[in-house]
Amino acid sequence: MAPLPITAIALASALGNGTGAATQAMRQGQSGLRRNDFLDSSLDTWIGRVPGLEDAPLGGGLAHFDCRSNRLALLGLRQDGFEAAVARAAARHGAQRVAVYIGTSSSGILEAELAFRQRDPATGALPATLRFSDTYNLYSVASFVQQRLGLHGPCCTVSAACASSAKAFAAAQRAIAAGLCDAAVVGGVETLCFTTLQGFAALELLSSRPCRPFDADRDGISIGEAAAFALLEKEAPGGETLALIGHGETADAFHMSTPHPQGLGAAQAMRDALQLAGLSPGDVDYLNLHGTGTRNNDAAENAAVCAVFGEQLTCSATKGWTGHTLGAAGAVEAVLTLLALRDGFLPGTANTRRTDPQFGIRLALETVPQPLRHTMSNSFGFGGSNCSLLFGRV
Amino acid sequence: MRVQLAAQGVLGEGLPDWRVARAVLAGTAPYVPAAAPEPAPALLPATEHRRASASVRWALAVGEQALRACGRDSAGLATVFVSCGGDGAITHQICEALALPPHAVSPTRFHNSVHNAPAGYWSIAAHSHAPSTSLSGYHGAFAIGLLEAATQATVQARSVLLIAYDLPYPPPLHALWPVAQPFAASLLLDPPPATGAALHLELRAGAAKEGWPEALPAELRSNPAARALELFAAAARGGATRVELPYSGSSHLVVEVRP
Repeated sequence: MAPLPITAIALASALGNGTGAATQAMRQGQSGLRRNDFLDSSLDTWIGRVPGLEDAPLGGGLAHFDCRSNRLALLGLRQDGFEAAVARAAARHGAQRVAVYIGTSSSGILEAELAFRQRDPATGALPATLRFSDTYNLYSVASFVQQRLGLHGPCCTVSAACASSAKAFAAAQRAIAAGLCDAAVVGGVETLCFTTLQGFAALELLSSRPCRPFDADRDGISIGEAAAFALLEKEAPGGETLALIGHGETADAFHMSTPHPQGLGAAQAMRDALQLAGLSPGDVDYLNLHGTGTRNNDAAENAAVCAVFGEQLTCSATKGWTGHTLGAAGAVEAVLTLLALRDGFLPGTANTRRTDPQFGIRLALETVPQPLRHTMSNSFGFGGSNCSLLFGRV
Repeated sequence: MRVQLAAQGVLGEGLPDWRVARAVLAGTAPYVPAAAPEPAPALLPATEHRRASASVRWALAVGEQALRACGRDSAGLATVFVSCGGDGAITHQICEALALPPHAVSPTRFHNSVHNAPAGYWSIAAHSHAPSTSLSGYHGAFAIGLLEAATQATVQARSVLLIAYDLPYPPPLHALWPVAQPFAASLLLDPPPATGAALHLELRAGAAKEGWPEALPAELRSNPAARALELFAAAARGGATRVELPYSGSSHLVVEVRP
């Protein structure tokens, strides 16, 4: 595929508001995880919560979209000069030529969870505060982002569990290649909610400590919330820029919530991304692992990475910084991978002390300066949904 | 953008399959209200029928229908799943469990709650490692899925199976989104040159012109997946025609159908 310029990125996560805050936190070794203090949840776990969302209702003409998910989306859009960059792209291409592809696994489901606590005791009816299209539905977040940015091109929510927002990049690239649009706002938005906290607890996959991806003693995930965005454009207005240069999507066809033990689908996604980019494994110099911190996920990913890259490629897992942001993880980690490429550093693996001695991968534990040419980011999800993204410059 | 419609599948009340739906849409047979047949996808082992949710069974059964119609294999076939409402029954069960002590969720119900559950079951049952995506839209969900499937077929020069499905929510969620009838449709799209009706797709500004087939019950129209029937009506009639499908609030998808 032709390299696709990425002309702006934005991030709001547990590491703070803006990409600068994330870079600084990783350089200083400050994880964004905290003991679970999400609403009235009493689970013994750590979370990557974005502070202040509780007190930041949406106002004005978009007040009907008000919910935690869209508040977080707005916080993300407001970072890093992203809205201004989109406005310039819309002026260049026309608002009807700029698409929106957002990945999420839960969108506004928290609003439904809270509404079910307030059912009418006589009729069972839900309170009128729960609105289907504006907050509850998965499309809500894509629709909100499109309206907030004043865009009129293709608009879509991709919801394929924890690969959702990585797959949004692939969908946007295809849309631009097909001539459906000239630019696309791609992103991932996911908030904390009780379904995912209690669901992962029921699967016994929540750690009671800050998650330690690829550590010999890893024992589960820490859930986080985040909004991350990238602006993809057919042509960059000037000079060298970051670029999406490949992507690979596969299905595991193995189990709904457990990865293939040898990571066969994951390995194929990485190979497909390399092939689309016309690169060899040796051309890649950093891989942002999916790296959730569960026993099975990390073991399967280790096998997949070693099968494709051998044991020479430097990798790290960033969920110890941000928490596992589920449907947003693909976009969050794409942004972190792009920051590493742009600013020349290897993100470390927060909380991990000793890489599992059974693993062959080379894991960077500390954040250190390192010039990079091509970087990859992996995202894998329930349903056996795999996606690898490959980034470079153009 | 142009793709070929190789085959399609239909599942709904009074519309048990494409053969019946084609006759109704072509005006050669009346629409007869009847409960939809219980979907029993051959891909799923009998033991999985009970465990898989209704939306998974509907999606898989309608997808198989299109493949049977043209004798194609499910292995290696890229898939696009689209649904507006997802699985309301599971959302209901989870939200109800979360609202009451001990606020716990069943692990199986949790992994079945992801929007790509039908895609996951499909790939497992079909032993398919091919790319698959799962999308959501609002009333324009069908057009969103159709545009993505056609884009994949065009850009990646491969056949893509589109599966659109939406089932009514149970109360009290039903009041939020009062879809009256369940419906699912599938379209097997080939990149040209290929046999089958040619579909030319173009996204345009503004609202779609109404084009609901008169032969069909009006209440089915509230189901976003049922917009496939507007396209299928054109295919059933056989002549060249033009269909406008709602896409999002500010645009619609124009589909020129040429036999």
